[in-house]
Amino acid sequence: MKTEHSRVMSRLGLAGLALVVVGGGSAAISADNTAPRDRSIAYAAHEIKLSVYETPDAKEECPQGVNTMGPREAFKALYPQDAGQKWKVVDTQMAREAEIWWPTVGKAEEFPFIEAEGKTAIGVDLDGKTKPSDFTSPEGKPGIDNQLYRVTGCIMNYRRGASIVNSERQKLLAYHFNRLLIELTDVDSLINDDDVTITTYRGLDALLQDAQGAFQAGGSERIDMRWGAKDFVHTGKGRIVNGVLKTDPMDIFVPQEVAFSSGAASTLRGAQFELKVMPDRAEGVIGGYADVESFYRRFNRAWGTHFMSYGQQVPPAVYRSLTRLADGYPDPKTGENTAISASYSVKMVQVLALHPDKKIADAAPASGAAQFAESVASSQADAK
Amino acid sequence: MNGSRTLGNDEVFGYARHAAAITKVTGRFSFQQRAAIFVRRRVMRILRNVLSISIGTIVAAIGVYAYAASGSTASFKEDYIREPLPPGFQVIVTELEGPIFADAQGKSFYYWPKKQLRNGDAGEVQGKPTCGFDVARETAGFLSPYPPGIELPEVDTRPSCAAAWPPVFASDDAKPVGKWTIVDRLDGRKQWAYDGWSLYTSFLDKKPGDVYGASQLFHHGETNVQRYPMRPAPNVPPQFSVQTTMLGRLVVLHDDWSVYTFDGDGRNKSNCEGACLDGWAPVLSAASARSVGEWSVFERTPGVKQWAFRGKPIYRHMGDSKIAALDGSDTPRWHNVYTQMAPEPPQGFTMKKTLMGLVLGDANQKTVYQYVCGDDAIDQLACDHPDAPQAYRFAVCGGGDPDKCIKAFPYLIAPVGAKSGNQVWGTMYIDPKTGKRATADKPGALNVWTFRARPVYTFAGYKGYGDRKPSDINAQSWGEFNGERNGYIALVYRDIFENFDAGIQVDLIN
Repeated sequence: MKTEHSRVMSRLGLAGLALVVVGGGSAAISADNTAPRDRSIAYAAHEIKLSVYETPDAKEECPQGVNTMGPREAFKALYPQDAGQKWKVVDTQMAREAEIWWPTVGKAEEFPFIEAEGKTAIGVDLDGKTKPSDFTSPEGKPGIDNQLYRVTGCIMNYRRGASIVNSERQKLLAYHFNRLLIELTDVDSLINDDDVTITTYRGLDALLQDAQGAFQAGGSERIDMRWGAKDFVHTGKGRIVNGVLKTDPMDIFVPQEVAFSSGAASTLRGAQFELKVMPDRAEGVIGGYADVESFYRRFNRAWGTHFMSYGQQVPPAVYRSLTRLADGYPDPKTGENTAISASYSVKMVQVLALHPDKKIADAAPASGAAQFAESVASSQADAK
Repeated sequence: MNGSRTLGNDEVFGYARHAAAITKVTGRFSFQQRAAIFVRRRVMRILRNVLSISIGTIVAAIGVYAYAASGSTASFKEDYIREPLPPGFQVIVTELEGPIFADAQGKSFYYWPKKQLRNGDAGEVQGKPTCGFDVARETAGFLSPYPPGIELPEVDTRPSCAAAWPPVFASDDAKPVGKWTIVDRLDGRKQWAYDGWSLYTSFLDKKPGDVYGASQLFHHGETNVQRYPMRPAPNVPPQFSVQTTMLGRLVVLHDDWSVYTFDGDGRNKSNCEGACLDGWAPVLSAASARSVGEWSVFERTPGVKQWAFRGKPIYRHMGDSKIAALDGSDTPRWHNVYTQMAPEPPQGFTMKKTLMGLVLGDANQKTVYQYVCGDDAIDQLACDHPDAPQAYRFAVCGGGDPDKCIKAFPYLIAPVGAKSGNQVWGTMYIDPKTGKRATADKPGALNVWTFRARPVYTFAGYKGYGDRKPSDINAQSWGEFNGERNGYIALVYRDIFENFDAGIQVDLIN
């Protein structure tokens, strides 16, 4: 029986052979034939979602059931319209919105907020330790840090089939704003390389899809060094072990807009990538510590109370859970943790990253067709 | 560079270039005007050469573009198609919205087309005015997830629909003229309509040229059912239209794709040939098309005719990534086309790069926000101005606490006596405790900058989450329904991905 590793190896071998043919033998080829051309390869994300481990009936992770009192249900229960009482917008609707945007820490929940239990979660061992609060991965790896899963695991919005999870997937692929892109450089092998460099960027172009909508490798992506350079470009080091990229901790800023022009993004501190890297795609997880304020605000900005209601998500209860379960980056003054361990599951396709030249990046004139053509020409010239 | 950052020349001078483009195409300037333009260009060129830009330089450069934009474009106003008007009615070419119909006193006309909301629809259909004198006292329940039947804020002083939007009544002997008709109101009175749409004025407009009631800008997916200014048709050929944007009235094709002009062209002569045509598609006219107003048809090659605006040949940019884009203007010597420029922000404001594009900043390059609000009553009144209940804003900006509000979302303070020189930007005294208008002598009153007669804000935030660096837009979409129903929206001058700089929406599935 073929192991996953051997399947990856054979696929990489074939793809490596394809690279040799496509590249006309001009590229530097490593001993295992998996070195990308110019020792560099880029991938663009077409799916990013919070890692939520789900059992079929949720009995394991949510033995009390999932949350059922969302904003709509709570409003109905708290302000019954058939009781003859006249309610006011200021005391009801605005009071609810005020609590969403300015949640009160320490306030007792109006209705029980159910957090995920269980021993299993998807994620990364961020601190190299196995603590009582840690999880074991579905594959049996101990020490998984993902306290955010406790917050989100029993909220329908984050579970399979939920509208927000599905909508986020669609929006992420549709909005160029969200085009998270990584580029690996100094790569001598996609199977084993003890020193590679990873840089995150934002891409500016739509992803290549076939007639069925499946994402295809080989599309071009202009790298945004004009609008997002200060925020989305981060560099770190890592290694590839048996086809899996593992990076050292690095702070990244993840574009996660959903509504039109919400500009929403959030900070993941000490992010560690664990991705199976292949010539045509990469997939795996990005672990890290989600900045609590950034995570919470991003979600509220990207989604309104209406959307929270789809999946029975009460934002202030989420905020209180986030602050209570936060386990990283203590505030030097108060000692309160400002970030919570988290994991995103990601799927990416290989793309040809088009770097604007320095002049363009600095002077920022380049999004016209002429510059685009120059960039492509430059990229092609470099490749020859 | 202690937190400051360098802007590309295009960011700083783009506005000036847009303005200059329109200026240059006319070829109808006096010697003094040409001399002034020459001096301005020299100043800009010199400034470009010394652009190791610090914040102070940016502010200065903004002043330069403001100078370039003013004067050179002030005389250019959008042309429109003349048509017979009822007695006393007029067209006023306003600064941001272009030509708008108005009454004899200069009060702008608006209409209120029906729109579907989450839980029903509001607004009017043609020929049937519904905006009456009864005061709505309860929510209509259009705004999911909240139900109907809840008492509105400040209900005892809430205006009726017809008080906030006075109908344009017709006298008993009024006669229809062209598209101008007379419709029957539910209260038995007669009301003027244009193209079937019942007409109203706004209680926010005080003098001719004010268009504070509504704008073509800021109509997005979750906004309430807003009113629109009623305008005459722009005098453009049928395959073009004009969109209101933050930079000016942008000429686009009928399907909203931007058009451009090229400095290398002559008057009614295209020099874009060969490789140039790989990136730019001439906008061709029908063989039977004739020149009209500022639009001319010239023969590009034998038998092939191309449109020109104010003498400049018109093109599409093949690399535009979205409708109403400004992408093509990134290419040197190519420019978007405007019928008229919008008034520039007051001195001291900055234009800065953010994650989503060019956004207005204050002198410290902090993003400048406007507050957007529409209530959930059947008449969908605006609650985004200081004469409306502030409970909505206080809920999202400070959890209901005005003191928290002013710390998290401080008003942008204007110097005493500051003048903008236009009707789009201005100043106003505000009582920060109530959020309402105040007189200058009221203790604690703040003199604040306004955009369209509404205060503007920055975002200081709290618990470390606020706008810290120039690229931050952390309060963009802050509030109910992504900030579009009751919240904060940045003043976006160039939206790279979507269309928050214009009043149109982009189909994002590509």
